[in-house]
Amino acid sequence: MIDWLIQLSIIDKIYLSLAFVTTAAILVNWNRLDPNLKILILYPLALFASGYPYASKFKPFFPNDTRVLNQEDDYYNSLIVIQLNLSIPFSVISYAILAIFFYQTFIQKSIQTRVLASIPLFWFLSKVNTYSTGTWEPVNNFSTLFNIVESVFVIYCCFVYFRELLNHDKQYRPEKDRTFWVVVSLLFYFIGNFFITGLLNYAGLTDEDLARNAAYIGYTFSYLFYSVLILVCFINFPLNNYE
Amino acid sequence: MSEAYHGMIVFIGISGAAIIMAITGIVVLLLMALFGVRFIIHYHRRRREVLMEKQLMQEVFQRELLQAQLETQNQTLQQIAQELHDNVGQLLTVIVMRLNSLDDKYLHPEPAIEQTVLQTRDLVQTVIMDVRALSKTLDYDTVRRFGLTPSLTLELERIEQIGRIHTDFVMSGGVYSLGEETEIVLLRMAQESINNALKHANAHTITVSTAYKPDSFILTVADDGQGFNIEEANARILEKAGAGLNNLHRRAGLLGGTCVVDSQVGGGTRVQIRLPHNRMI
Repeated sequence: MIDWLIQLSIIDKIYLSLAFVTTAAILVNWNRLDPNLKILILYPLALFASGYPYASKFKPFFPNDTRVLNQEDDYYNSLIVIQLNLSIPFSVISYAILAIFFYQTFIQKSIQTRVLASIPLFWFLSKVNTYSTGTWEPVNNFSTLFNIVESVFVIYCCFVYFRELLNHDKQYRPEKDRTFWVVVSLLFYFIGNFFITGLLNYAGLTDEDLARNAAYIGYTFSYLFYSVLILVCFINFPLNNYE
Repeated sequence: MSEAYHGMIVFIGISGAAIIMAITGIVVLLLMALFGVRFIIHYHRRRREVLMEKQLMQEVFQRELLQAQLETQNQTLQQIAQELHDNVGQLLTVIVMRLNSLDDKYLHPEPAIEQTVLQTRDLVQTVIMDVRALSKTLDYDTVRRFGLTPSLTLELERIEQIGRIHTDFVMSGGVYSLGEETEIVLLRMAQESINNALKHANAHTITVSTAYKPDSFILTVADDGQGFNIEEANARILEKAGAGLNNLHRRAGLLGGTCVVDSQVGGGTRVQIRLPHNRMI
């Protein structure tokens, strides 16, 4: 049952460990976290939940990779997490989780409505992407367009959050707000993903080493995102973020 | 592929990946921190600017409000002054004329009646003079035409004429213009303070002094009356508290100056309004 876990690369193992620690950190600090941050527990949980069925489709990261998977060989394995992140079902779920997070974070009703409305829109786009497989991207490529759209949506939400902060009327201290730092990490995570996902197909066809390095960089963004989540859960901000 | 060769490739691969990830991690972490800090600095700067803007807007609003109040007050007072001068003054003049004609018509009335007519005529003459003086002090045109010092002198003369209270006016420094609007506000503040002294202080002497210093102007209204406890007056609930003192503070603040009320029970009251020079509404 846990064979697939053992087969994972060390990079994937670190990723899953961080996701596990994040879940634990949110659970441990459940009572002192704001409701919007509690929602983020679903993010690693969704990853675990969807990771197991996906493990059955364990395959090399690049379609042209002729190297055979070897359980003792960490380097030439599948980078399953990045494949999972690129999968459309997980993208839809992760976007829905992040949209709910932003829905609870925003103050203005109109923005909240827009964020909620973007969930079915994103689901609709996923269907369009599925039914039009091969139209915009070759079938043997990753569905990067859809992931780029997700990144754009989340980056937009982050900037809307920052704009809302600047237009805020109350006396507010962003540096003492966990949400602020989480949104900053989300922004960087998705900006990184935007470029890395955009590069993957091209790099995969022309230079596999470049693509592999890009994938590693993508992992780094994920590590930082989870690390920030863990840190903000444990850091005890001495004063309230609202004065 | 030998075992050692394979192991070396794996090692190089992993260490290469680790270096890439470490460098990326550090760079992104630094960028994140930089972004966060930069945003926080920008946020606080913007908040300060917004607060200052709000404060400025509030100040402008208060000034406009004061100006509107002042205009309304001045117009009302001017109207009253005109009415007093043109209507009441004229009627009183007519009364004097009637009394004169009465005096002429009955050449040799009874001494008691003649005495009464004379006394009445004198009283009406006094009332006419008082009304004229009052109409002059109420009319802000006087301040416009003659300035603050003559207006204050006129006000004190009027009070002196009532005969109940002795007044003093002390002036120091070279007179300079504080601006038409500022001088009108200062006159109204002085009138308010004098009125307070007349109403509540039970004073014998009211002293008004103006000090034209190079960097500031000081207007002081002092009386030797019964005084009051400032703490008690401040502690009074809003409904019971008079608006006079608050008005003085607010007006002084809007002129960019300060108003200090100093009073002791049995020791009189002293209201000092200090304005920085060149500050006008």
